[in-house]
Amino acid sequence: MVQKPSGSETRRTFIKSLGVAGTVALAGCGGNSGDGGDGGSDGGSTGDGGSESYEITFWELFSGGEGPIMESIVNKFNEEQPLDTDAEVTINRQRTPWNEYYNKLFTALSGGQAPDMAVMHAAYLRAWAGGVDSIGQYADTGSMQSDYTASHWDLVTVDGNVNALPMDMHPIGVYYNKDLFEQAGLDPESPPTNWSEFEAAGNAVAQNTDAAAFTQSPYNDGFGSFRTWSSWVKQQGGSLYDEEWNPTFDNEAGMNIAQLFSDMTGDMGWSPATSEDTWGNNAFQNGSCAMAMNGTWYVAALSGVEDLNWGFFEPTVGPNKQQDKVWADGHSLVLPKKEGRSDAKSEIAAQVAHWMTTQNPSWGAEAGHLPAANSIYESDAFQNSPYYDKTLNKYVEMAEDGDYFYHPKVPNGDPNAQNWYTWLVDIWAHNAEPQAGVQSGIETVSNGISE
Amino acid sequence: MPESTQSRSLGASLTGDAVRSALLHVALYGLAFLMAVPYLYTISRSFQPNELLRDPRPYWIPPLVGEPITLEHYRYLLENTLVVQWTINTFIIAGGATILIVAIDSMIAFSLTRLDWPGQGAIMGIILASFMVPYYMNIVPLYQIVSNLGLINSYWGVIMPAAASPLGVFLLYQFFRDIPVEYEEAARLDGFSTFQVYTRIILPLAKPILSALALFMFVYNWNAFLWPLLVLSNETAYTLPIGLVNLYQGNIDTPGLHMAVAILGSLPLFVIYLIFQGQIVRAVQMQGATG
Amino acid sequence: MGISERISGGETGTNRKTVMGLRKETIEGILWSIPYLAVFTVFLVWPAVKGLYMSLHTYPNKFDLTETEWVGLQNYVELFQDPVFYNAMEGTLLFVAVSVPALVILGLVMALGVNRDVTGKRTLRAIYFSPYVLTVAVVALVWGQVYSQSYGLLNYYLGFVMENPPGWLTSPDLVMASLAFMTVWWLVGFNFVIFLAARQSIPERLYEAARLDGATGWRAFKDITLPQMRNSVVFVVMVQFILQFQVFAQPYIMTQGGPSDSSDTLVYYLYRSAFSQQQFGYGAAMGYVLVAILILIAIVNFKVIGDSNA
Repeated sequence: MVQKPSGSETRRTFIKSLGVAGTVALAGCGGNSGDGGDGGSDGGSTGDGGSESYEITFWELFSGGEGPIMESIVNKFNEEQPLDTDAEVTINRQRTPWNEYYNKLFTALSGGQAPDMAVMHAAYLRAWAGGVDSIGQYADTGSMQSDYTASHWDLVTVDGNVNALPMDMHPIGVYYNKDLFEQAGLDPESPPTNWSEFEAAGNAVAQNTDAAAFTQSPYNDGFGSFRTWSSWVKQQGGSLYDEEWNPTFDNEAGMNIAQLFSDMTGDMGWSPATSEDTWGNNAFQNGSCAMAMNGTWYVAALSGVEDLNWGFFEPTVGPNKQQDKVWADGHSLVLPKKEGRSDAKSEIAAQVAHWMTTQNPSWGAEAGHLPAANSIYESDAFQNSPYYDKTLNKYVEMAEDGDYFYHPKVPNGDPNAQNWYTWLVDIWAHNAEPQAGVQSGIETVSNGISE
Repeated sequence: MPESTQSRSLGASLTGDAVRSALLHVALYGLAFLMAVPYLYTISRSFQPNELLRDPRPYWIPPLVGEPITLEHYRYLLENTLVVQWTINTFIIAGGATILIVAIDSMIAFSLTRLDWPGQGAIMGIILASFMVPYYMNIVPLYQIVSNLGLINSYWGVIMPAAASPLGVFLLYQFFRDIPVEYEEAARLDGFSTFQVYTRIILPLAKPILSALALFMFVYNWNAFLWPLLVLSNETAYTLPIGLVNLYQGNIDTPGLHMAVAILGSLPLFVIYLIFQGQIVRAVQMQGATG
Repeated sequence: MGISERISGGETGTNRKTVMGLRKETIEGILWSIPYLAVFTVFLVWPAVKGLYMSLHTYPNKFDLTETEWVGLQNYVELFQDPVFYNAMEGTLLFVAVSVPALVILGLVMALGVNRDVTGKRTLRAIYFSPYVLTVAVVALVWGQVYSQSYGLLNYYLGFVMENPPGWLTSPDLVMASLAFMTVWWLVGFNFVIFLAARQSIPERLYEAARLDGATGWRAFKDITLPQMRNSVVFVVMVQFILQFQVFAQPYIMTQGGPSDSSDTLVYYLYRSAFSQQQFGYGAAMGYVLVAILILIAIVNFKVIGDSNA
């Protein structure tokens, strides 16, 4: 196991750091203002009657419910000019949808046309270490650290280095249909808390209703399947990679859960054996699937569906569980390497990143993610979020318990590549035997990492 | 009609012909109907509320209960997505490429057919040979070149490679070559400059083929997929085809939105097609005739 | 180049002034050609040459492509040992084998049908050709819903005649055929109008003469129609081979190469290698191999069609 978050330690620091919430003012973030360095010589800044102006190009990938929230955060920044500097700073936001985002970011980087600031999943921080500037070069990360929860800080720390500022964490959980639970003769208000209850619930739905019981990912894709599968593998005590980043998930736990996937769409009769895109999403939203495992972001989609009476429970319901482990990744903000960007501009960009990640409760409250900054947990906006009682408080609880392990930060390749994990869909859809599927997965992932 | 075949058994062959003709019509119109089914399905579903769309049973004509028809999908797309922006982008890119292609292709075709200079044969030979180069072979080095020129995420990065296509040169070359030399000689005697010969003689004579070429290139570049996908990274610069796919692959997965976006995405070009059908078809037929 | 001789022999070409030893017409000729030639050179010829260079190199620093390393033919050698490449080749060939014959034969049948004494030729032509003006993204959106296993149009009606109709895009055995069928709907109009024009340009007297000899139906088709339409058939077959061999958008949008990599194609793999795995040298090498295959296909095509009609 190479993932860091060791349970008890994380729990203590998580709670402790909540205590200092809100005490850190923005001015304390290193005191870099626009007059440092040689800002005037930079292409993005122009002398304007003594004060300078900077345009920070910012790439992001948010769609669905998250896109408009990010847009409003950027607009707020451009209007309020919240930074402690005389310079005029504007963010030029450019959105690239997620499925092409990293390809585009990569080609922009290698072509010398990188943005000044970019959203990056924490899982990329190791493979992309050569492509981003260390944020500590341009900001006092030592003093910033206390603004963030310990687990978020841990999320963006790679080999002891912090190259990014954490923005959020988005773990997964199980969303369930209360009406279908009722139809199946289950108590809709006390969802499963362990494997035997989960198994009983699934069987009850499969036997007593026309609906399917469970989907491993509403998108029925490789990456989504991996989130579910890896959580249960870790719960059984299985590992995913060794110290040298060789995939090790063909261990007993890995095989068990692969077999479970195959059984769920086979003997158990929980779900049809299909590889159809978004099968589960349609089924869950139109009330013909009782449980769906997915990330924090799912709340935005579900709250838009009328007549769907849904609830949420923690995904620590894997069979033969040894420990509570739940997959998580998070968004972070990085400064991509860019020739010709002045130090002054980089410092401004670092401040912008700090402002974005610490001063915007709406990101957690409306997008449904776990915010990175301590102060946000105390804020009314977060506590009054429409999702607080439904999902967020449980996600916070899992964070306090130190349940999260992070999406593997592989040293090379594309950690979110769909084709690294499509073998899981093949197993789920009975296009591959579990044994053979896992073997081909080992091969695909090793090739992907060694590229 | 030769007498012999008709007189043999007039009645029988008449009914035989009628039956054959009826069968032919049934077959051809049946095929047309089948080919149109996806259109009807798309139009119908784009106006249906999600509750009907989630029903596995397709409704061709929505049942007249509740709220059978809705504009919500269209409203959503127009208010919450960049469909309008993408349409404008696509017009700029396809229109810009078309104008550039018609201008520079007609100029070189003019030079190669109506002017005489050493090496023109070799140049035409090279252009012809480039037909053998499949477009996709070039994308990797081309991407680097376009990137080095700073054209990534710019309209020019899409337009310029499109203008390098040899198809227009080839078609115009064939046409210009066959314009009788007498027109031009008369004009030269009247003191026309080369530029005047081009604008006043050749271009007017070539109007049908130029408009056909322009329409075909417009359609072709409107629909281009892989290259704009590579070059345009910012959502606000997308063309319609790229934007549509990103809506599809993003988090929008309600069937009604898919269908409405398909309608909005194809409407501009479909209107153009209905108006200029003849020219577009002719442009295709010319390729077949000269190929 | 007959025309140039004609012009140079005429009054216009000969008695012009010369500039720096060049005839005015030569200078003009070059100037009129330069705009296209510049674009052609930068965006078509140069990439083709640069691609060769790239295919013989690797890029050791992913984030700085100015660093290159000469590797000789290593990219090509690796390619021919790459199981993903062979799988993509298999998918591509399957797609071509289904789509090209269907595109050609259906287009021909439609053209011959419409050429007969039919009312509403224009309407039929408009409908048959219309899918061609759709962008592939729209085609994919629409057919995604037609093919959908659980709520698709096709399976709803098939449900009346069979139990458990198949997943058209989710069965590894069917997915390529499904994509090919969709492609036929999309592109057959292109072939149809070319064949229609070719058929209409055959002089009717040939058929009248044949009828007098008692040759109708199949024999007239074989002896007159096909030979007369030979050029357009050769053209359409060639164009479709080249186009369909480069199939990319359909699997990219609809299946991402799945299920179980059964709808992977060569251009899709080229795209992934270069633009998501950042192996530019490998991608460039694949581009060259693609050209070699296409040239091979072209030669075979000319031989086969040429011989059978000789």
